Amino acid sequence: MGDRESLNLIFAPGFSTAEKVTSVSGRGVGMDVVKTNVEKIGGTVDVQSKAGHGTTLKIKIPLTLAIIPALVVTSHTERFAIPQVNLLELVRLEGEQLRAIEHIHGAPVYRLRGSILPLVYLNRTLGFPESESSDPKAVNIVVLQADDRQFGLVVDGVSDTEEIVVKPLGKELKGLSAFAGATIMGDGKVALILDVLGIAQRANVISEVRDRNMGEDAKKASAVEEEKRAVLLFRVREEGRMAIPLSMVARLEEFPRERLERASGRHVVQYRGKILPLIDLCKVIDGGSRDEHGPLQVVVYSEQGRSVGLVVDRILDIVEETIPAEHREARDGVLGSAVIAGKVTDLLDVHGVIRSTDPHFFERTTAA
Amino acid sequence: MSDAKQYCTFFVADRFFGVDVTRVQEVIRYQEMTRVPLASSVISGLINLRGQIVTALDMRARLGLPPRPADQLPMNVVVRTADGAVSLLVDEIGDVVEVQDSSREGVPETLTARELIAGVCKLKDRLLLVLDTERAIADPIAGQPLAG
Repeated sequence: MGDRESLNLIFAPGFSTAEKVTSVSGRGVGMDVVKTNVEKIGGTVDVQSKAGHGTTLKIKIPLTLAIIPALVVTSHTERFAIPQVNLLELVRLEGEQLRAIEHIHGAPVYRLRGSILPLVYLNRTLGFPESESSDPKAVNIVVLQADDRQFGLVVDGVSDTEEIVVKPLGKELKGLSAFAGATIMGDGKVALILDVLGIAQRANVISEVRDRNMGEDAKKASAVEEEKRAVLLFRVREEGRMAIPLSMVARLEEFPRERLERASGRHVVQYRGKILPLIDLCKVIDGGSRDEHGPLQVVVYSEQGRSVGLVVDRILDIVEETIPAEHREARDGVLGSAVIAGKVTDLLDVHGVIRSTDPHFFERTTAA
Repeated sequence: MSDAKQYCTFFVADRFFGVDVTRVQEVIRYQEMTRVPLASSVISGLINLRGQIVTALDMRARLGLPPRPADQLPMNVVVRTADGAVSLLVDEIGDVVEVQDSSREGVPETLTARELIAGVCKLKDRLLLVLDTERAIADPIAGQPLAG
């Protein structure tokens, strides 16, 4: 085994030449941990030694950990770096476009492709004296994002994007939420790195941005919305509602109870020169009940010239609503439930109900 | 052989201060500084010291003294602290002075900014104020320069 190889044995786990094992040394673990951790971050560790002369340990760690791409901006002649990870886009407004900056309750905002973007003036946030802010020729907006909040930072000038080495600020400056660190620029001068979240908090751009996000979600929701359909709402018992698409309803009728007649074991009424069979929904649907006195409220359903009257407890209303395509919990007479006009409503299974009382209803083709 | 201490000395306005020489990393001429917005007025800015970013404290502001004339550039006394290097901006640099411990006395009650002074030494022709470096650097975190 060569000298170099035998030296590297010290990094082997469990390898120890200690005569005595103490609480902090001797187990042969330390150097293995050092080597593993250094190599984990992409570095190397090397040992050189000459008996009687000395030992040199070289640890090399790549600088890439501390280098980030950043956009350099200027505010009041000072340079600042904005980490690119927070950068969304750059907007420049000139001349006529400057009128696009509106004020909501005194707070400046800019409408970026329809959504409201709160504006933060870097000069003001950093406490610089106002230069010519009252009537600038052009405005540079850096659209930034911190957490999920977006805002526009107005700066005097925009320079290049550079790779910068991040250096931490001293203890004396750690309390400043507006800065995340400092860097040395190419000309040797120091520039401060902005902490985007800190700037947003200093400028209080929180609540406005939340409203804007809500507006966006609402827009997305409406795009997915189905077409609205007219539905007829009615009651088959004291509580709860049912619905049937208005397109299925031929007429709404009210018959005095005396007109009720029986034919072939079923209730019928004479209707428009024909015999209209009746289906008492209040009896068909579970738990239905009906006022046994007073006129009958009937929803007349027609198909292919054949009609049937669905007797309900009370006709309620006609509304325009979206009926979600998904139906759940189908049971006798009910396709499912949905929220219609703010209340849970059962959707009437018209065909099912009719078929259960008259299995041949849909087979006959002759007009009655 | 009596005990003695060496002090790196400097002037701030008309006051003569000294810092334990073993705590001084280096003394260099005025360096261009980057201002730190929103920081206390005691912090003059950041300097690039061979790749190391060092915070510079204006000792005039720290001691509550009037600001130096605009055409007078300060010197940097870079001291070592537990959290890295900090530069003290002073008006003029003095010599390294050796002082017997016996010459050192307590701080008179009447002295302004006495909380930053660790002791007073009687020299041949003047008084040397021994600066409490940790205190001088620590208090700016609270953000308030001392009242004059």
